[in-house]
Amino acid sequence: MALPNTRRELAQHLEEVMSHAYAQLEERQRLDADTSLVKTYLIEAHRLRAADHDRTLQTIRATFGSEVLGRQTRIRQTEDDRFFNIQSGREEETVLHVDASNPRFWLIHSTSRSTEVDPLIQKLVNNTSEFDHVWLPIQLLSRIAAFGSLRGLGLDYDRRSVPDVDFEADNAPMQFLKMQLWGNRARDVLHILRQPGAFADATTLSKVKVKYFLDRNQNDNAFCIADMKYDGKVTGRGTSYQSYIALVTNLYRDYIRRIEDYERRFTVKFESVQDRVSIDGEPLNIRFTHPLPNLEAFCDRVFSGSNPFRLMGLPIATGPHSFRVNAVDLHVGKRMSFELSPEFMRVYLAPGGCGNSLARLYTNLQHHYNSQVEAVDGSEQFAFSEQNAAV
Amino acid sequence: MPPSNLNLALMNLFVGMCKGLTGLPRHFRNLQYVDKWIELRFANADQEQVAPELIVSSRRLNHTILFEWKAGPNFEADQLRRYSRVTQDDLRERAGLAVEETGSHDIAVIGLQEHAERLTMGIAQGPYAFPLLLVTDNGLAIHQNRFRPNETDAVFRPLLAIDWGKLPNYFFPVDVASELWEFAECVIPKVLELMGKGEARILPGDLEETILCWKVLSRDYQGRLRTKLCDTLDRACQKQFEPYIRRNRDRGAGERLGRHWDIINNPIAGSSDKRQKEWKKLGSLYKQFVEFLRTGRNVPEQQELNLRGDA
Repeated sequence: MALPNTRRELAQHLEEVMSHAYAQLEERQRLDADTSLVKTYLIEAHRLRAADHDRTLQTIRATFGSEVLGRQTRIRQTEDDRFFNIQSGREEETVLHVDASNPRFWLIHSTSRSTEVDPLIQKLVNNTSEFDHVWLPIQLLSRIAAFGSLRGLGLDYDRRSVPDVDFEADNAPMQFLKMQLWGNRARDVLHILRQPGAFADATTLSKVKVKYFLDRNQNDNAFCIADMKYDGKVTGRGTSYQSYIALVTNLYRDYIRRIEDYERRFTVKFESVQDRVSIDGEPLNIRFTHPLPNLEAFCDRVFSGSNPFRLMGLPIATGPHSFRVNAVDLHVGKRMSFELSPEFMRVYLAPGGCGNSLARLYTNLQHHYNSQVEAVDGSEQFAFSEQNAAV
Repeated sequence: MPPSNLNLALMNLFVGMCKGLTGLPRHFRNLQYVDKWIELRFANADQEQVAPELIVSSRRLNHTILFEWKAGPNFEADQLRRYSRVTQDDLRERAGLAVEETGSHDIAVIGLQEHAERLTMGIAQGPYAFPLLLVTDNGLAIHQNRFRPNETDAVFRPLLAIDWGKLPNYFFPVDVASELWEFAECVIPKVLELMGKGEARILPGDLEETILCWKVLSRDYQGRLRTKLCDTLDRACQKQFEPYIRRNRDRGAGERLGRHWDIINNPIAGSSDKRQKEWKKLGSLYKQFVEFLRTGRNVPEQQELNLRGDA
């Protein structure tokens, strides 16, 4: 396959892949392999927020080089600024199309197999401090579902990652809950699971499948069906790449606005004007639905520096039931501070810190601690708005 | 237990309450008090200086509070007199507060319960109408006089319950009275941040960044804090971080850069997963160092069991 040399050529290529796959699916009711699906990974590159083409290329060479993708990696510049093709492997080639139009929030497209691309993206995020996934908490995934019509959803909760409880005890929380629900009744099942007395604490939305028309009034044959995962991976099929990319960029723009907003609101700064000193900003307040049974064990896990939290810090006891932690976020290499009690956690971003770190923490608490954990600002307004939620 | 450092505790408490931090009483936030100015120095009607620790104001109540607190048993008589001469016009014209915030104001003085008798006498000598709040094991209570708005007064009656262990610390983490282990909590994460970025050198300015309010402190106060920050890092170099950081004693470099340190061994530059083990090791050294400063005892390093049998 000739590599696309412009974004326009990439769009044509992905349109062909999508429509071919959908025609095949309609005809045979199955796909040959997931190579016919378009995959898009939403990746945040915090330190590159002001990067130009050369700086972006330099970072790609340093991070996508042999350490991540192996010796066979070839990085190709294109005619378009900040648009690159990356090839990896000798026989069955994996190709990534990197669109860094927004120098901080990248789109990485691929039609290669997920089994090849997913580990590469994972390595890219884990092995460097340049990149992070986009993290979509339940409320944001629900909102995305409202962009189109919901066709299915996935649940993914695993409490075993934060082992601060005895799972053998009578009142122990659920250990894990994973489920895929396809079809129009998925929402009804979710509603039942969220009922009091059911599994409200463990019903963590991890994926939504959405059918989206670019403009149904003009053409009701031009649509996409996209699976959108909580870690920013989107998989698309359908008849229209334009529908697909419109849906993906709608999601991304919404996310970017929020992340920039978090950085403004949740970074504490001292301001001084004519001898008048004031404090701007506030922490993000996280509230635990049930008091943490073992705060020390919880801190040891969350601040161990490991995935998925990627925070390295030392919990210091400030009282019989409280800790503070000055940690380093291993994604951006910046300090973050925390104050914890069994009922709450206050999270402070240092100046220049990354709003994506807040989204990562909150989303992973939903997946690994309790799906009903709350994130609020000082006005007790939900920090991750639920407006227009469809699920 | 009441806080060991009253100044830091009250500053963090009132700023935190105004900002609506979870885990703190919400009364101030609900009454729409906003933290306005920290240690603003301005002149009263007699052209004499006052410098309250903190000024908060509420448009909803059209009210301003000037806080003054003392860990000791006495307020200066002259200081209280100067506060009594602050007028509504002073607040608007000299303290930059809006008309809608200054319909009335109170000077709130706060001290420790153990000094109640002496503090009460000081207020009575004026006599001044300043509400006197006392810090107890369980919170803050009005001991003498009252706030002008009933809603504000009610917040402290019979007691504003506070769990002192759950106060925020981030706004004002240390002052000159803080212990070196408290400075270590600021310094070492910054050192790890710099090492993670692959820096080769640590400058005093890097350490100063860990104190958010640095730029608004007086030069004299900055100097005293800088000494403690630098002493903390010197101790780290002599103890747990000796294999990684060394004080640069080159005279020429010292003249140019001031007291500074070289990172002589950096196992975590680049933050790769492969270096995760090194991050953990440095985290463990950080823990040992803080414990050492707290207790004076060396804590043995916890060895990780290699259960996978890797080489």
